[in-house]
Amino acid sequence: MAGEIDKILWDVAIIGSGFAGALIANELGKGRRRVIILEAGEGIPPNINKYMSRFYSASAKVPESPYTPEIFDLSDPKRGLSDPNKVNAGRPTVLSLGPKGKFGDWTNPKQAYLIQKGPRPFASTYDRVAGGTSHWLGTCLRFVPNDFKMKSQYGQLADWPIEYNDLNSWYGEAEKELGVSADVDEQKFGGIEFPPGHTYPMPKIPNSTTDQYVNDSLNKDPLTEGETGFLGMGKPVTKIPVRGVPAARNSEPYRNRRACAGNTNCIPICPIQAKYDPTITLNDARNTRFVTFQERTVAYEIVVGTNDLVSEINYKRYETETGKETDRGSIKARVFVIAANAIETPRLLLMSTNGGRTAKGVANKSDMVGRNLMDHPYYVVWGMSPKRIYPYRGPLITSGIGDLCDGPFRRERAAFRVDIGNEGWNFVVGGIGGDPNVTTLDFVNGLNKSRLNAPLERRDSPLGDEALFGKQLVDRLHEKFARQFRCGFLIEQTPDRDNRVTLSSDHKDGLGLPRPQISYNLSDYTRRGFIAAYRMKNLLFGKMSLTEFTEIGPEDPTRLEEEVDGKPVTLNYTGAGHIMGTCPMGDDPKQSVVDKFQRSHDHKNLYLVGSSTFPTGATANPTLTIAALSLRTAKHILDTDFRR
Amino acid sequence: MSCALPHERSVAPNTIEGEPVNAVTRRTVLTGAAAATAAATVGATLDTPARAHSVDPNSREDMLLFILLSSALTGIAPSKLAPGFALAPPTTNPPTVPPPPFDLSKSVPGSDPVNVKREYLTLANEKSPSALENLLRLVKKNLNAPNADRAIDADKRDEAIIKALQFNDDDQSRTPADVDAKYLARSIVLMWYLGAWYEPAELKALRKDPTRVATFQIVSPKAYTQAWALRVAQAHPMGFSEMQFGYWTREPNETSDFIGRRVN
Amino acid sequence: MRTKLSLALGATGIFAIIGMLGWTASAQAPASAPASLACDDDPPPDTNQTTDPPTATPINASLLTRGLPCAEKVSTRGLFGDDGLANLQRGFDFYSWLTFLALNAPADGSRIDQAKPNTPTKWERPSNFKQLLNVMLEDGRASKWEDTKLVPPECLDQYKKLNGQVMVIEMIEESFNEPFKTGPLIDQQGNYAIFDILMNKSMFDYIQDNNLQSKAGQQSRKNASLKVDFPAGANKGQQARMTLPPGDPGAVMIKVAWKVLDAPTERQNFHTVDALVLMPRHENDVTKPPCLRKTLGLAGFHVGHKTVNRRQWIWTSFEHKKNVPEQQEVDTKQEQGPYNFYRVGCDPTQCPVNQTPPTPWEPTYKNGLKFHDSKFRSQITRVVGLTDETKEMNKQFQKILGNTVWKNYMLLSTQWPSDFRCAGKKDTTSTPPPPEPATDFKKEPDMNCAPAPTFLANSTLETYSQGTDPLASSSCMACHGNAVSQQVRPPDMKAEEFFNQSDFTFMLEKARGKPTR
Repeated sequence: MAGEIDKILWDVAIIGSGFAGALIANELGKGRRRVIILEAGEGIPPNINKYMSRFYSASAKVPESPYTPEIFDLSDPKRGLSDPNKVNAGRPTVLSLGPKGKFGDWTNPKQAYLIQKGPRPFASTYDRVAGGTSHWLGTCLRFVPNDFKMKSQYGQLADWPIEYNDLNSWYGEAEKELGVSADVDEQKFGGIEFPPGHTYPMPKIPNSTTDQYVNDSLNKDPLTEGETGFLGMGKPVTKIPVRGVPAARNSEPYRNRRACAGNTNCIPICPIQAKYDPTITLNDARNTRFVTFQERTVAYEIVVGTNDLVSEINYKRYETETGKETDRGSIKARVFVIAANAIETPRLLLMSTNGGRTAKGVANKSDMVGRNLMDHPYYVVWGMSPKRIYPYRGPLITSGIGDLCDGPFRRERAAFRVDIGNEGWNFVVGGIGGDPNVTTLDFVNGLNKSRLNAPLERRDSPLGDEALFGKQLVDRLHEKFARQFRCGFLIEQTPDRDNRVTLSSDHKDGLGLPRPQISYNLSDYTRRGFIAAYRMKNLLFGKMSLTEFTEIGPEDPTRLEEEVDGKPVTLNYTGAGHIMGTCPMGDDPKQSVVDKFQRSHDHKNLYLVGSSTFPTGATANPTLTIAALSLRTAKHILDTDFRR
Repeated sequence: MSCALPHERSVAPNTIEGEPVNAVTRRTVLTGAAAATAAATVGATLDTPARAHSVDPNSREDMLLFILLSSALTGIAPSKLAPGFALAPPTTNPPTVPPPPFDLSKSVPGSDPVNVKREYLTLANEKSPSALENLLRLVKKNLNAPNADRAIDADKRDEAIIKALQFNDDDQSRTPADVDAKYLARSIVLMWYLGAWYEPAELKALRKDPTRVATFQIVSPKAYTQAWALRVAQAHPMGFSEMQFGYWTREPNETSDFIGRRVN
Repeated sequence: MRTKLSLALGATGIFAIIGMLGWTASAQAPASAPASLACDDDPPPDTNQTTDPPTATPINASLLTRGLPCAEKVSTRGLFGDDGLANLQRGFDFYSWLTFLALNAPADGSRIDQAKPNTPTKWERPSNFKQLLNVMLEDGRASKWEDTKLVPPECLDQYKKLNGQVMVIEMIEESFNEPFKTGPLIDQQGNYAIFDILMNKSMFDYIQDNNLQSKAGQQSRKNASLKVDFPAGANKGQQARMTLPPGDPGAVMIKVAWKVLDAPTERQNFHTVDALVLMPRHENDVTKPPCLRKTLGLAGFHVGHKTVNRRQWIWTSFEHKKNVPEQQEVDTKQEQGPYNFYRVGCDPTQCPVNQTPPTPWEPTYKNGLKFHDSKFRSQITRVVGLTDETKEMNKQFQKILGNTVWKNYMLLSTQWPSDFRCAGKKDTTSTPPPPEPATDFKKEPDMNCAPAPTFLANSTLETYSQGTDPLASSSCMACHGNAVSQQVRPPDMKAEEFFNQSDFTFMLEKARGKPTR
């Protein structure tokens, strides 16, 4: 078992089994290449029984809740967070983004896996099983053409070495592989084009009653210049369409998977696997007969041999989450693909110093590895609607506003997209999240964490006015839940050299490997995007006649203090889970880490894939672009002769 | 693993003496007029071992009372909390005057395949047996309210039960046992609404210090899927939809389909 | 809408009417009569309701010839006091046994308690049940019930040599890979278990009448407003009896699991069939798949039957009693082997329990139906055991099956919608109006109407999703409730008016032919 994989000279070794790793493995397996995948986390179980029971039993239903490793220390009677020092393949969790000195202190290495140096917390997380993205929402938006040429179009950020047209057909392939449902005509905005006669694999998911209210309110009457001029779109905006969001979510039977039944649980896990996740492709890959998979195998050193080629990758193994290292080994292959997400990939590269020969890390002659760490800072807002809009039904998100993601304003400020939430105040209530529990507890026990149990003028009163039983309780909860609304703004982040992943010199994980250290901030350009989003929120909430309840704790590290029209406003950001940028692609080896096929400039048989390679982040969820690039890169690997 | 078919078996009902219903003070409503000494015992010390665990989840009568209690406290029809629930004798048309008293020994707690009511009664009994006993006694006391028209019995009963549990913690006319019962009642509501157990003591502490972070435990995956909080809003617990593709694009069915009555 | 003429087939129609009087049609009909399997519209209930308390209906040989119940006959009154649920469950389990006996009765009209292992059964006869791929044809064309069975060209020679006295199974992915690609099942001899799906004439007629047998048909404009609603069986006196021809049980579907029986010694304990098994075709491969002559033994048997009072269908599951031990038996070291899919005494580190086989899963032509890893055997246990009541009923029915192989089969349980007043809204807006009594298509808030028991899994058919974790673990109705068709909403139809639910069957998603979109 251990050691068997060391004896083979593989065609391709892949580190990481998420979207990029699984898709590339599958293509290579279909192309009859011998592939080994090393996954740091646990293997894939035959069913999701345990994931679901873990999820159902979790008090904190955070994105990590169904998956291993355990978020909480089960041996601790006070149930504190697991100490990342002891966990073999750890990862950040949403619970370790708390204020300084409080539970889940974001700066406390005993609770937070990432060593965050600030000045602001990097707020996104990932998992370490099936590559870490099974908890994704499912959104499969394409980038718009201008997203790829921010520098030449708007004099800002950077250009990609490829254009939308280079990816057009690959987007189509990715949509087929994942099984994306959308209406092609509805997706023709922002300059997006499709090949003639193109259709999505499945019809769009129907919109929700919440979406309908947003659209009806926003577009009931033509919008005026006074209302929309701030957007800087360069032309009058009289209508802001609410469009369906393309998603890897079945709207009909597709590849032996069921259609969505509206479990309203996409994040963290779909109970009926109507949402695609990488384990599906991983399974297909393993069934090609050419792909081998080994779990609980943590790569820790990329060895560079002669001719600057990677010769092998050293790994450690473990049996239990917090147990001792059980084994070591080394994988030899002709080609190596690192698909370990935009934090773990640079971490691995930086750890690989080859006795000083690659002192700055492998693939890092440019010194760019780990830099340009980006997310989509997510400005989230919520309120009460005057009428019942029936949230908590359907997928978590079915529609959004994408038309505002591109325009002349990008010369001045970051763009944003709008997510319309179908899940009420589930993860935002009271600034801490946790509905329906929080509001129910408020009205049963006379508390007021939701701010709904007191009139507006006393909304911050800690005790609530009512503690109810019986029909009164039903009526009250009914009219509160049925009117909850939340939306979010994904804002484009600037690639910034000083937002970076480095190695901690003080803190290690259970295997003795240095944990990732993060420096992170938001640029002025991005912050101006926040301000535009704030104005958009005002427009939207005004049209919908919402009473706003957005709040953020005074010590919450994700507060954002801005000034709008001379007045101070407090905004917030959370992580969208979109980790990007740390191994950017480009034509110039001095300014980038990989070329347009995600191949390292420095090592001809090394590919770095996934969203690490994004030079800019745009505003669309990265997954479809990751998938398209992966399929394109897989073809490149198949077409390239790697013999010496 | 457990049987494929979890369900209750009918058992011979306990015989519990009916208590004379006289003019009652708040105290007697909670602790039972018939057994003043017992009341004093319960009032004096909580969790008195001698009387602990006298509620029996296997007992038909206790389960019936628990369902009636839960329905009063949660505001959800008993036939929704416990499918198949039926009080005997049923109301006749035209109604008999005066209406015959309910006979718990002939009433049916209902049997349904999920049977979460049993989990809840068992857990409440484990955690706060004396307070639970007091609550069930409260229900029984109000079961055959005098001079009540059967048709609105349920409402009167529910009102009386709720009224007995709404008072301030610092109300001097209340005993510690009363306060325990009040908070257990809240815990029971939260169980039904959220599938989660909030310790009564925790709820009490939160009232004193609302800035605390509320802690709770999910009773079981099954309980989570039976939670009512979002059903009262014509939705479903997140992660557990029993509906079909496309339902979310339509307005939901009326609340009566979800909770057994229309909402104001 | 189905035509009422479909059972008026001359001689066979007359026998079908005789069938309504409580005798199975084939008991009267000549052996070659192509009658569809008729039902008994006054089936015996599990208890005698006229006494107080009710007493158990004797389980004796007279039940062997009662025939397929047109619908369930159950009551909340029964042997278990006023535990209505338990009484109903026993009623359904009794109904399941009658169903099993009727479907597996010899096709030639002889008695099941005198059948030989390889005596062909009623459901195996194409005039009673058709295999899915014989309905969902490759080019999507319509067909008639009387059409002769399609035989793949690779099997034609062997088929002719055997004079057509052989079952033909054309394998697709679902023939060896359990639902949602959860994995294949490998028996103790290293062979794949093979799965097959069949439907009765009522289902077939509904599919043909509504042009659902092809992708293009389902995607047609006309079908955009169709709300799929298969016909439901009813007993005498139940409403809607009149809309069904006599003897028509409504929609019945079957799913079977076969075990390959290479050794003659194995063949004495199973019901067996002589079969030609065509291995799965490979999309981009021109190699002809081999057509293998095999003796197959019945290992698992699912029946789904739609009735007027159970519009979410009734779900029956049987298996061979020596398939697997219960997990409880393993934990207390009380296994009584040998088993078909479990090796007693094998250490869990050598034989990991309930784990899927090592990839790759697809059978290869050169290995035939033997798994590529010749040493691998699935080690399967039953995670949720049978109830004592079911075990007791099994014992009684097995006793009346004499010394036939049928005594080796046992009922696992019957899953049925316990809250049958739910999903009760009538649809008044469709054109044409749906059949009486109308079905609630919105099905809120619970499309499954509280299945009892909550979970049910067959060790051969839902091997890897056994358990009691909500939604994740196998439940016939929770899973089938999610089934949708390939219907498409035209742009001018409002989303709220579009219903693509396929009435608890996944068969419609298997329609083939060229799609229109």
